[in-house]
Amino acid sequence: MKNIFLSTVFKIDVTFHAIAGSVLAFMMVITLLDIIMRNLGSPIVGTVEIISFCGSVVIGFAIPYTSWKKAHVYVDFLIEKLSPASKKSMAVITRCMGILLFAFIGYNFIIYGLDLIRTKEVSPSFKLPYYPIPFGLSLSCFLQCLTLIADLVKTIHPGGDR
Amino acid sequence: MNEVMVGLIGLAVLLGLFLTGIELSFCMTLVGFIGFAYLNSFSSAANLVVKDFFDTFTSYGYTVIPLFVLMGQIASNSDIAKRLYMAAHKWVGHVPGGLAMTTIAGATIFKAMCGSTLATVATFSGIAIPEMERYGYDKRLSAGVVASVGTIGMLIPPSIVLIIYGIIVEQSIGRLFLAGIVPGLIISLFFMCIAYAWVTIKPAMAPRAEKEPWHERWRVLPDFIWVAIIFIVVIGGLMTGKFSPTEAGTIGTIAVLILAAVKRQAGFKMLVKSWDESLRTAVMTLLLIAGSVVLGHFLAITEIPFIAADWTTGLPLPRWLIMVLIIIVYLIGGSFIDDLAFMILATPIFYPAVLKLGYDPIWFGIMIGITIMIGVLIPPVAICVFIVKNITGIPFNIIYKGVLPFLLSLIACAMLLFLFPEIATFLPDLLMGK
Repeated sequence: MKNIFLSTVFKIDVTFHAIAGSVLAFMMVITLLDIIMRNLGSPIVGTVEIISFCGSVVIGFAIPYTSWKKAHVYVDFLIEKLSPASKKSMAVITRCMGILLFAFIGYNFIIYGLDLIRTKEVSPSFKLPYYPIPFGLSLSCFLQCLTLIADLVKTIHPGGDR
Repeated sequence: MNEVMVGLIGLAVLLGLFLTGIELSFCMTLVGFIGFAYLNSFSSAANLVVKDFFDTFTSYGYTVIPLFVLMGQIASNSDIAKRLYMAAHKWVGHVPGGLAMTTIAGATIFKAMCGSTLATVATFSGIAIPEMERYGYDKRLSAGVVASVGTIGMLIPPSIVLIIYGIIVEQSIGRLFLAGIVPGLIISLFFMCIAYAWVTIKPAMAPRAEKEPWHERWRVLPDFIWVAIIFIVVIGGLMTGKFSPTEAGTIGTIAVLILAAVKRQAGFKMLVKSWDESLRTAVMTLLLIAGSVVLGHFLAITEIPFIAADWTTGLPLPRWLIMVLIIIVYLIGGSFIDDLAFMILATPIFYPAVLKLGYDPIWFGIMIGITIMIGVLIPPVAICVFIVKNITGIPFNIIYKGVLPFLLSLIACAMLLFLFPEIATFLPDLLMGK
């Protein structure tokens, strides 16, 4: 059960990470095309908007896998000095704080997205609606919660996971 | 309880949370949110967090970060660094301490493509240290030089530190890049002089390598020229306003990708690795920024940054001494937390004071860059030393003995820049106007 949960979260994290990577490549292509077209006298209108939208996907979707890989910055010199039991308790507390934080942010992104639908806010040039971004980021925040839960599971029941 | 007291308690809680091992970006967001909710309302704090995250992630300005990081990762994961090292080896390998100087020259040129300090230290630990060992170099010199040269990237463009600083304080990234060039080259020169002097005083530290014939040296010259072209296009484009920083990052990344492909080093595995590492670094950085924005909004309503600015500038001390104290705070803070994270956290607090004291923000950015360079070499969080230790297995005490002379030269350079700010500011003033 534990392994199924962990491997499912990992696979979703990797998928989101791959989407983020693909969008980063797309961002580069669009920017390059815009530079070329601009020098030919006909720039792509709204490139800044497209890049900004893409940027949110790149960063938002790569958050869970970054957490899975423990690539965030944290201070560990005091934690390292604790006994294994204290270290474990501290990890459980900090994971729970992270889960609550991202669940809260994810929920509020949904509310923000619904607000954007109601106010029909769109980008100035392309008239692209803004609301998919908060919904996408919300999805990523909930996946981040699952990733932190997976980390919590690994902390409480270490070993045995493939 | 008044706002200032709430702000101070918030900062104390933040420091306490840092020690629990929670991710710094998470606790900055948490403290910012709770503090804002306490002083305003729960719903406005919830709106603030979501809006700040949304604005940070959709900011066009911040899209530059994953692009320049990717550029560096591709350069690092392909054999470009190794080729540069071997090319520099052929040119200066035969002089006293030549391989150490080769490492410094190679890393300095490599930094023109790779903004990541850690990637440079890791890359050169794998290339330069075994080569120096092969020639019988003393481990203090080989490990010390490799741990130190990675820091040069904090100043040589495209520096990620300067990009983030520029975005936080809303200064021109092109101007900051130009300001970093001369101090970066001076530090590189200082490092070379130290290696030369060390080996001249103690010749047993580094036996000489054989001299390469001139035709061999000319043969490897294109390796330098390609990097120079990429550097000139990226920095020149930024400086002349032809590219935005995001466009410069894209052009640089594509150019490095083409260079790697031409050298047949752009394999699928290398690309996946580069993409993966750059995304993780970019996410780590942007979550830190998003967290600091939330925290910054909380601190703004407590008015702590403005009170700190008034208090600092009102101290009965000469302004240079106040600046020294600010730099020492960065140094101490960065020694306990991650240096980049501390810069993101502290800059919005100290920046108003720096402006009020009448210092040039571009110069301050370069001073912060050098301070971080020193910070990544001193304990307890001497990340560059940790990497060399992890990759080579050389004990800490030997690496630290090797780092010490280079560290002293960094401090000397910081003092020089402090006394003569024009070292940093004259180039941007000359090429981009005052």
